[in-house]
Amino acid sequence: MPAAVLDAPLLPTPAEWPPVESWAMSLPSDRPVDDHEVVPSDEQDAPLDEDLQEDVDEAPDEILEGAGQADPDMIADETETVEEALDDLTPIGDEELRALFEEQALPFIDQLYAAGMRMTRNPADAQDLVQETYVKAFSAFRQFQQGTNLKAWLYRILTNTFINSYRKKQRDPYKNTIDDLEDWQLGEAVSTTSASRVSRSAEAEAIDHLPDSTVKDALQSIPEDFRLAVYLADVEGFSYQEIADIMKTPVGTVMSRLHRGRRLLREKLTGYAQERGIAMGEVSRRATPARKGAVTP
Amino acid sequence: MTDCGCEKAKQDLEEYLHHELERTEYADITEHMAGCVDCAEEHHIGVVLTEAVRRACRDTAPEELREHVMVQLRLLTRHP
Repeated sequence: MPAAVLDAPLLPTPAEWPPVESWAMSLPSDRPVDDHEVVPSDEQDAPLDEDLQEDVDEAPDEILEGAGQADPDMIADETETVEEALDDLTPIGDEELRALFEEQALPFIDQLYAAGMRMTRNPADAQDLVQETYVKAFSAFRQFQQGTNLKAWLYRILTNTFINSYRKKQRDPYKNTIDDLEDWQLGEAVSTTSASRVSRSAEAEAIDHLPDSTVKDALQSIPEDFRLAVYLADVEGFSYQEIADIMKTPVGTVMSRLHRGRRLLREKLTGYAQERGIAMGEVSRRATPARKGAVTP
Repeated sequence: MTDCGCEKAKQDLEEYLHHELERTEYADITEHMAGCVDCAEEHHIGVVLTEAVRRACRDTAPEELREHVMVQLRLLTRHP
């Protein structure tokens, strides 16, 4: 059996990923059980009501004013908002809400910052973006449906905020048309890729030995929508459907962005490796396999 | 479970990598790769690429960002 097969991921099971237990809202054990209450039994995506979603995007002040008066129509039958759960026990206090929010949402700050870095490509904008995301998320937190995917909900707010606030400022010639461009327009190699000239095991070895900064540069150089799809799938482990919801695009588009993004990335990384003289099978004069020390900046 | 052949395996390797296949399809590709070095190596590159991206994206939020967020949240709860 080839060694690579040993690296194959285990069969996916619903309990395996993404981890639900760590962030799922937990109910106090002594709270009275309503007849109609259904405890969420499985991972669910966290649907932001369309109207609320727009509000979270564009009008946090209105959300704040409306806090405490959630429209009952917005609430799905089988789930409760944070506000409802707390309200059964005591009148909801801002301090209590903030403590819960900090406990549940703040642990995602490193991940959201990393995503913000991939989006904005600079630390100052990434910090502003994450801060704005947390403010909006907290303003809408009373309407968050407990038991649903808080991480996906936060990512959706982050992505919406980025698209509405930051992307408009950037000059990205591909902004709205990237999915329609042909491969050659993106500089993607058509037939004689560098990858086809080296052995695959050498290529894998070379990619594996590239420094993080090189991988980051390559990631930053591919079109934004591709980069984000790759980030959400490969770093965050979101499912295609979750990415489709976050990026507000059909699953087929997600698959296309992922495929093209990963192919571009692979070509760039293989190219970098060759430029840096990392051993590449037939094209290398080196007799020994590359090691990290072989990488010269 | 049956060997699906190279064409099908190569076509679905990315979905395989991302756990997006049905159980039977997944098993078929696993079986195919057990006997096909070409597809197994192609899959291995996919795994290595994913790991490289994951490694490179381990950013930690600056402490000041965490503090700013907490200050903002306090300001929001002070003026509801």
